[in-house]
Amino acid sequence: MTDLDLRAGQIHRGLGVVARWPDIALVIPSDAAHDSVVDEMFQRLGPAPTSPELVSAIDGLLAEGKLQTVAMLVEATGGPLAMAYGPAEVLVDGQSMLDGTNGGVRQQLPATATRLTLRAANLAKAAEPVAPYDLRRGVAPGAGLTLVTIPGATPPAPAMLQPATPVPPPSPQSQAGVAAKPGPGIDEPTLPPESLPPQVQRAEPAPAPVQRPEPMPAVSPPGVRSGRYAEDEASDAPLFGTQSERVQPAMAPSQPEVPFRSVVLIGSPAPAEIVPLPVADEPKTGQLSRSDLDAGRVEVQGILCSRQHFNNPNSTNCMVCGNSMLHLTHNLVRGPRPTLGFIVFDDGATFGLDRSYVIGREPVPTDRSTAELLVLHDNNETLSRTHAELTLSDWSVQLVDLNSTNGTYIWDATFERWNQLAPGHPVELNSGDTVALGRRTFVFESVSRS
Amino acid sequence: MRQIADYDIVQQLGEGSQGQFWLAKTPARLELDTPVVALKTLSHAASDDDFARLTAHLRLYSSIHSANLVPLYDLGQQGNLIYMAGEYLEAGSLAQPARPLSRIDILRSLADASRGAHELHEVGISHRSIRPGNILMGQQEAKLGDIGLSQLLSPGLTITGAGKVNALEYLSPELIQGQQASRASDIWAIGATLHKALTGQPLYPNLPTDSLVTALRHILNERPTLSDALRNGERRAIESAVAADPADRPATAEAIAQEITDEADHQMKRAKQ
Repeated sequence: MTDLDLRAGQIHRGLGVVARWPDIALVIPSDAAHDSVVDEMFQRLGPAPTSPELVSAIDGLLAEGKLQTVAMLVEATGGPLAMAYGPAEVLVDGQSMLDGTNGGVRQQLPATATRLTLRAANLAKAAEPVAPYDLRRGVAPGAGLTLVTIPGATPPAPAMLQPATPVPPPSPQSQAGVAAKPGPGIDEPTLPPESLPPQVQRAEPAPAPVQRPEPMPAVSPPGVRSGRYAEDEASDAPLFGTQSERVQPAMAPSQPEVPFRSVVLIGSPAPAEIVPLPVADEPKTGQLSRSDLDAGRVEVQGILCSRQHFNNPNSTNCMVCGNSMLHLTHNLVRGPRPTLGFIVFDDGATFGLDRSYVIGREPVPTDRSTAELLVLHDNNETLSRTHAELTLSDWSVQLVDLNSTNGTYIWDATFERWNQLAPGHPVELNSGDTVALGRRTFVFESVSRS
Repeated sequence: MRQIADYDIVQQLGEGSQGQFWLAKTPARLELDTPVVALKTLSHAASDDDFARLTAHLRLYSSIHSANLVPLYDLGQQGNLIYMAGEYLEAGSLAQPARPLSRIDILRSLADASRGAHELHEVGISHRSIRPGNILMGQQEAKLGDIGLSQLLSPGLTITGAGKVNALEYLSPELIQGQQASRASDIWAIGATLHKALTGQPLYPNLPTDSLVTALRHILNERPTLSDALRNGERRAIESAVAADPADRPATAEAIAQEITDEADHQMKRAKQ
């Protein structure tokens, strides 16, 4: 029997905190800078946190950047789930299996492992000698923890056996989607149902701000509303997404010393050439117009639905009207490529895939591309300046890592793990794929229906 | 006193997905009669290229002289803050009017805003941000304000991260899919705005709130559910404006403006009988 809780807990001496609770083992290699944050977390968690509570608290602190380094194990069906963020590692029978130094990682470990070690990654090999204590439950100082199978240990009577609390499944479908899938190994905190953004409500007075569990960043203050220029109803619920990436000063920044430039718009002359927006009913196939070419549009081969909307030849339903195209004769025609879908970032920002993008903190164009530069903010600087490129190729969306420091990952829902992309090798995205760039994530949604 | 560029801030007026609104004293250099202006600020590091694009866009906007568009006076940049000054309208927006509005008032406001949108379309601009909070009450007529700029600063962006859940219904399905904004996508927003202003109900009453992705999937796979509180003429106008296929919507914003005006006239006539 390899139940986590049946193992002996050997503490590695050193700076930091180690903890064990039912189904949980946790190591926070630490220095003084962390202490208050960690203390506060332990206080909040109380004497017997469940693994979702713990994962949620840890994720909250990681997302806020208050915590950089942690290694933990939580019980899961089939073997313990290991997570490492920052310079922390997880060893199985003395072999390093996970190292969070280059970005958070998580992985399920074999249930058969004899020794499971959580410790600071930079710990000298000499850290092997452990303190002569068997930590079974509670919090203690230490830089690492080794859980060892005790020969002959038997599981408690079935009545006492707590079913392992499942870790919130990291699969994008079961998660909050956009706000979900935080970088490789950084899980979406499990929000209790009542903490979800409320349905649209209009009743006055405005309802209380959305309550999130403590570790989540607070919803930004609504600011003073005179009721005149507010975006919409005062009761607007915030859009999904983690607040931490949003920068919205609630007060007017007063910066009289900063120079400014102004363009007076009063009396702007009418331009020489006025090009009205096209009125609908423009041809949907055939030659590209000049504005199409200017916008970098390309022609592709596709099929027409019964209402003459241009579609991916592999689609079963029209992306515009939804009509089935199964019974149509599939005559290929050429036409301007329509949008292939959209990507939704963890902060709610959504971009249409009618064009390619180079994504990064301060992206620069790649040689061959006419791609738009997509600037992403990343408070933790896990994102490279030029991190990855999304390109449209015929009817497919390709993702390529541009030699980023922390890598580009696609979530593999079958094996519940992050697969890292080999730099420079494009991979085709499938609808629903969750992608991590450093700690920023997005979900790709295709508009082709097949 | 707080100051942004050479604007003295009097108070905050509100906050939107794109930025914040302030009531500010009019700087003398603008040579305006009005003592105060509405100042909008957005935090965005803008390059010279960005600023040039904004300038060209808003100059084009300002060259339109329409009673149904909020006039803009000034565009500027101070550090990472972009600001623009425009007319301050005291009577509030359709979302939060200073005085109660009748059904006919609401219809006439939407018709006015639709005419404003049409003027934009005729010079090649899509508004991208039509919703109750951006239709402001003037002395005589309503004015469409707060033209969408996020697309100019982040090309391809369809939803800003700081948006609101119930702002999604003003985005047409094809915009969510990533198509370019068009007359038809603004016309969808006019239909959704009219529905909201008349009934208080959202177009998608069952919009999932667990994540943005599932909400967007819902919008792409479901049709809007129009409220039973609508009168027949109102329902017809909204139904046509929020047709799934952009080609099935009224061809121009002028056309939907006319439809809404006809319904307002019709209701007026019935009220007199």
